Amino acid sequence: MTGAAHLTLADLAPCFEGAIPAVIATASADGTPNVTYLSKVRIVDGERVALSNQFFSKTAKNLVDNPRASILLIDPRTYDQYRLTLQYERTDRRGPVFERLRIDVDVAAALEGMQDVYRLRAADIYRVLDIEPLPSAKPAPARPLPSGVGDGMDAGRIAQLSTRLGRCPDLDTLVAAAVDGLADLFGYEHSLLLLLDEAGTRLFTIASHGYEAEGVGSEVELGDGIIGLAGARCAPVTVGNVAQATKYSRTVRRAYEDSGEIGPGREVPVPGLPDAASRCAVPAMAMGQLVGVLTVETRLPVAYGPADEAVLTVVASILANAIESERARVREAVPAGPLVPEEQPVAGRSAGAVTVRWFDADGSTFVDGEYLIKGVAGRILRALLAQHLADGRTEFTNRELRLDPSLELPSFKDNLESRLILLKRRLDERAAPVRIEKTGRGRFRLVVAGDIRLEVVDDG
Amino acid sequence: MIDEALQAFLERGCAIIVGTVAPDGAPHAQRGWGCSVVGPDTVRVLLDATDDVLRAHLADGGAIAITGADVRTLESVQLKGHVRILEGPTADDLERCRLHNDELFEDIFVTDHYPREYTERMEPPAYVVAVIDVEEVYDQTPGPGAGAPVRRSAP
Repeated sequence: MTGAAHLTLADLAPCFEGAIPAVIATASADGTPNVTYLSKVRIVDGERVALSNQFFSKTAKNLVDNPRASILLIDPRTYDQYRLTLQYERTDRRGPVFERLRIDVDVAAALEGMQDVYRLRAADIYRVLDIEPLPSAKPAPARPLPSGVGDGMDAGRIAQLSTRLGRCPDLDTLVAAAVDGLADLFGYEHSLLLLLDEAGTRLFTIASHGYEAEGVGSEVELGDGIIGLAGARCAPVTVGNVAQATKYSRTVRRAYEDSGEIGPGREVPVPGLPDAASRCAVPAMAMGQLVGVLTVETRLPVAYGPADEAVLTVVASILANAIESERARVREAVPAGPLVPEEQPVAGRSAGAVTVRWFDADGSTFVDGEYLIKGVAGRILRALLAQHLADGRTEFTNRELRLDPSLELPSFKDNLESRLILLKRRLDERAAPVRIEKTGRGRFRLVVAGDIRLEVVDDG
Repeated sequence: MIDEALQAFLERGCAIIVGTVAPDGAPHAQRGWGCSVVGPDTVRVLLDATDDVLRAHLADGGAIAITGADVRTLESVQLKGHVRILEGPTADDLERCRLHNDELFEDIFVTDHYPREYTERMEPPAYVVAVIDVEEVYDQTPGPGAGAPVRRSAP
């Protein structure tokens, strides 16, 4: 490789994160140039780069006839520009380089629900012949744009967080300590922990840090968006410019819609910062099974790299194993009757009470007309309130809940503890007149402030 | 070949990239600035005057491709043709380029949050103007239709 003596591909590493689109020029056999934007270029090794090939484009045709290319890259921290002269070597349709590029394409597809049509066809590998810095009219900025938490990940801090987590007596404390510790010790100010639901198709937020609204209970379909993709692939997914990736994905989606290949799309709602520039999501795995997804995000571009993926993977693994361990501990069967009394009260005891309306169809629960929660957590609240209204009871155990058939829990991996924590946090977040207080391991108290009126709506 | 809608697109702060080719077929990528439509098939585009390779490629009526992209939507159009004249910029060229860049850098700031202090660093130290006879126009918007001809000039 020639070019500025001190420049290597490793020096240009931030340019390869896709924060700013690259440019590629090729030429046909008859000498007609072609120039277009590239969503991402990846480093293969010290002498090669890889370009994704999703469409049978003019660029791809030119490279068959004339295997040379010229690309422009921009460092997102400084806006320094570089020109790389490339010689095409080969096309990969499998293997590690293909898989790395496939994640990039899958992220774009997952952001707009295009998984069925938008796929990587091939990874084109090029040898880099020359790296040339481009001159600028303006001097370099006094300080590069910040890009990341920056001060490295050391084993000491991982051990500190691990110790904190190891001392947590229950799941509620554990998930809170995890997201708080990621902020305190590593500077991840915005994080979400999502757990896989009972059906294994959706992820729901059980803990968060750094958001105005906690977002507990927000959900994402497995496979959708960066978080859903990390869960579906059981592999870390890092995106250095969420806005650029989303914009690109929307444009491609519109093109597919215009061509009639797919119908009108749905925007995939994603929990978290609406203006996040970087997002890193890692799977929380235990015993080879997906338990959830841990994700961090920031408004800084190109903020996360392999070191972040590594530390988050360690933390996610600790969490997943702790959650599985807790589930196993409380899965002891004890005989018990249904928690919900045979004669279910449909009205509370006094006029002017807070009204909790519960819909049988999906467990959606509203408190004085405001949505609170749905699904299993909604059914738990309904069962607890029904019991409380029937006999004034306030003390409950996880075990009896687990055996209550009205909750429709699956017999395996019922997620009860996670759903209880979710319910507790939603009630706290909404300052609801009903609260859940932990009173011991596997025991809790229902705290009811004022009069409650429970309305069960059977809309099926 | 260039209708009013395309003219408005090209002249409103789009991000311009340029491809040229050496006599031996080697392609060369560069950026372009301040495009203006000066005739039904003719545009003026400012280029990096310090790029000797580019200037050599275009000196004798070299082939050129220019792609303009709307930073906000990524809608893109590619023009292909040949350079009729390579000349120094006029005061009007530089003023138009300044206005064009204002819109471009503002769009980047609004959509991608990069401050102008950084994006201005893409500008070259000096400009030269290429007057281009446009022969082909292609839709270059990312997606399955990228590269489809928009309109082809009569032979």
